[in-house]
Amino acid sequence: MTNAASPLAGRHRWLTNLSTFAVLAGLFIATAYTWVTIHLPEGTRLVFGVTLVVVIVVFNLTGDTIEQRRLSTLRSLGEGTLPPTTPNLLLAANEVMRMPEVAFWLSLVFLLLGPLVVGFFWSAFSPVPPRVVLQVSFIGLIVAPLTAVLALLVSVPRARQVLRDLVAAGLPVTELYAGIPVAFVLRRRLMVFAGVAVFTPLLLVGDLALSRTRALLDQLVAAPDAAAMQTLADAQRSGGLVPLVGLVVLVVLAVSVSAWLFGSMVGGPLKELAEETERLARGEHGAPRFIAGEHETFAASGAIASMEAQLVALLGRLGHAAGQLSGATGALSGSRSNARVQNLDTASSTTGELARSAREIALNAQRVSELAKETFGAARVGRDGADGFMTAMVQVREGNQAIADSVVRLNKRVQQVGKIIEFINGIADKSDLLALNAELEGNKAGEVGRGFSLVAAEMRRLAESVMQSTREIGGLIDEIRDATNAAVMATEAGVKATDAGGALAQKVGEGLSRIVDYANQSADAMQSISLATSQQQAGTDQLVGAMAEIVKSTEASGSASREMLSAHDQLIFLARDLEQTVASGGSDSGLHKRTTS
Amino acid sequence: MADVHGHLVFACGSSLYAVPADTASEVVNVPTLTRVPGAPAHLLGVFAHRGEVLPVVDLTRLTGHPIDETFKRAVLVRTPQGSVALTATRVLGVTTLEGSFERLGDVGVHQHLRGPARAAAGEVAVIDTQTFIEFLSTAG
Amino acid sequence: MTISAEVIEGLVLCRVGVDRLAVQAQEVTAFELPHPGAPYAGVGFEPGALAPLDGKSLRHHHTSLVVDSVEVHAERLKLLAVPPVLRLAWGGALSGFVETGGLLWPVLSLERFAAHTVRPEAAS
Repeated sequence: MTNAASPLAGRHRWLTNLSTFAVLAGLFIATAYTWVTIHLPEGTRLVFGVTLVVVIVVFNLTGDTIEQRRLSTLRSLGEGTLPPTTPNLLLAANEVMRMPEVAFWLSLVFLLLGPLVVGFFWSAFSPVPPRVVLQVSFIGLIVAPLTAVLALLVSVPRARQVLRDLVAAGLPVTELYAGIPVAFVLRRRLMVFAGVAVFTPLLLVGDLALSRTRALLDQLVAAPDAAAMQTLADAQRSGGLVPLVGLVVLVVLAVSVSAWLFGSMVGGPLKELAEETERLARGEHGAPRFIAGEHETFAASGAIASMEAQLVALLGRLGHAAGQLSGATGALSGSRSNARVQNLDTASSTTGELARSAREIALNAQRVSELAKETFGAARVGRDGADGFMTAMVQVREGNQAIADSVVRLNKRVQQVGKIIEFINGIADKSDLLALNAELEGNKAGEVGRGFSLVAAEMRRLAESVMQSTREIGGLIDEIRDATNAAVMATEAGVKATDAGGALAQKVGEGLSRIVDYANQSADAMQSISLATSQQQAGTDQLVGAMAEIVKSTEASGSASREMLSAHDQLIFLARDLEQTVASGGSDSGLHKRTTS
Repeated sequence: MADVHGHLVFACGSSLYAVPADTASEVVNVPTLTRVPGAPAHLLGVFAHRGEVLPVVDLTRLTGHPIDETFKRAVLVRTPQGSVALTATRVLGVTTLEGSFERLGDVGVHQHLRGPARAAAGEVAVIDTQTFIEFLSTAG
Repeated sequence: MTISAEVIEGLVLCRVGVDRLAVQAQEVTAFELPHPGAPYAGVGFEPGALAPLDGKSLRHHHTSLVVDSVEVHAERLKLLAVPPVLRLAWGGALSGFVETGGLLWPVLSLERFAAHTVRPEAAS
């Protein structure tokens, strides 16, 4: 795992750099003060300088070690030896949050102890007047508070930046706000800062003036005459002021920087909080955003973050509701609002259609009425035809019956003829027999009966020809009988068929009569319908006119409706916007966008 | 043998028969017959004619020719040995026959038929009436 | 052969199928119900004919003849002679013919019929 990969790599050192510079600045002021105000005796300056350097190095290293130990988790995270889990990040955040305080105390202790140690070692290795040693040893009392405040104040922006880095590394803002104990010490800090800012220049200037005055008095006391005193006084007045003024300017500058930093420390988060609340007020909410701050501002930003979280949750529900509202209103706009305007058009067009329909119905009714009349005529013709058919059938039946009767009579006649023929045949047969026997008898009589026999033979031939004829006639009669039987059967069938046909024709006639009645009735009904629809058509035309009036009069209402619709559309737009805002604000990408911007 | 008195020629079935005209007493229409129990098959029955019971003999059955029952008439043959009526599908009349009059067979009825004689209508079997009726009487 | 002028009195006219016959009344000793084995007169007309169940048996002493139905005729009737060609019919059992009601009836002698049935060889 490479350090370069982690955004927290080297942050532990970067965090403490400026506080070191602050301490160095404090040392510079102290040294300058010492240089300006205290006349280091000749021969002790080297020891002083060496001691000073040694102390600075040792203290710096010690302070740095202490600081780095205090930032062990952050360092481990930066080096990648610890995974960037939320507890680890939170631990690192605690370390970072405490760091300005640590810098403050370290600087204070450094600048209080440092001069004492320097003074101790300096006096131990050189013959230095005790007053000078004291002056050097307690210079920290003047410089240390300012330096400590400065170290604190320069650490704060860096600590904030590292905290932002930690948040960027994945530390949840809510966890951060919840996991860091808040001390409400801003007022105390302000008081301390005010005190330092006021008293440090005061002390410095006072001590400076006092030391200058004492040095002048010492010189005056040691002056041999008044002229020398005058010379000293003039020299004091004319020169030697520049270093003093420079020192004061330096302190004032340090105080000013501190004041600016302090103002930034308090004002920065407040400004951000103001922006955040403004943003929230604008509705640009999202996941809680981290606003770096300390103490009260930290608490305030935590509270705002919590509030934002609550707001997001609330807006989530609201968004859901808005979604529903949007859907509902969308549906509403799709149906009722539009429908209201559409209804008017629809109603208008419907009445138009109604009018057209009524006209068509009237036309249709008239057509149907004509058709019914035609049907009536056709049915009447049909009924007349059926009646004619009936009559014809009756005539046919009568004709058939007559034929049947004739055939029966013919059959009887033929039978009579047959009997006659039979009778004739019998006579012929008897004649034949008689002639035969006569022939036989004549033959028995010999020559006498020969003529008799001849006549008998002739008679036989006659009888035989009669019988032949009667046989033929019998055959004919049989044929006629068969034919007449067939004719009788046919005529009977014909009579039956005509009877059936007559019955059918009667039924057809009855049916056609009913059709005639119905056609008559339907023609009447159609005329009524035609009349009614004509009246209705007039009524519908009136209705169409009325509808046109209604449409006109509702156009005003329509514009109102359109306004309402527009308002409703705006409502829908707002609901959608709200929904969208909620949706986009709740996403992580939104958070990144805002935190990185 | 000269045919002095002539013969009565008649058809029975497909054959022509003839009887001497002096034995043929009459030609009658066959009335409804009364069947006689125990009579042979060629005796179709009897009918009463002028106070006399006459048996009707079917020549087709007797000669073994194809049976023909379309007869309407019968030829009454009278001999001193008895009288019979011979069924006739058609009676041709009295005619003079030519040809021989020899026995046509030696068995059954054929020994009482003579020929071959010829008439205008064709070949005729002449019935020897006396022996024929004797034959019928003994045949039972 | 002269026509016999014999007169007969008391006849039993019998129906046998579609045929008929008659017997002299004095020859019939009893009318009985037909018993199995008794000869049926119908066999004389149609060989193998079967007697009806409701037939009548004409008893003549020890023999009997089964017919379909019987009718006694008491009038005097002229008995017509049997033609010579029928003299041997049914073993010579025919004794003549009577004519009544426009119909001809062959008259059977039961005595001769009995003799014929007892001696069947006489029938040929």
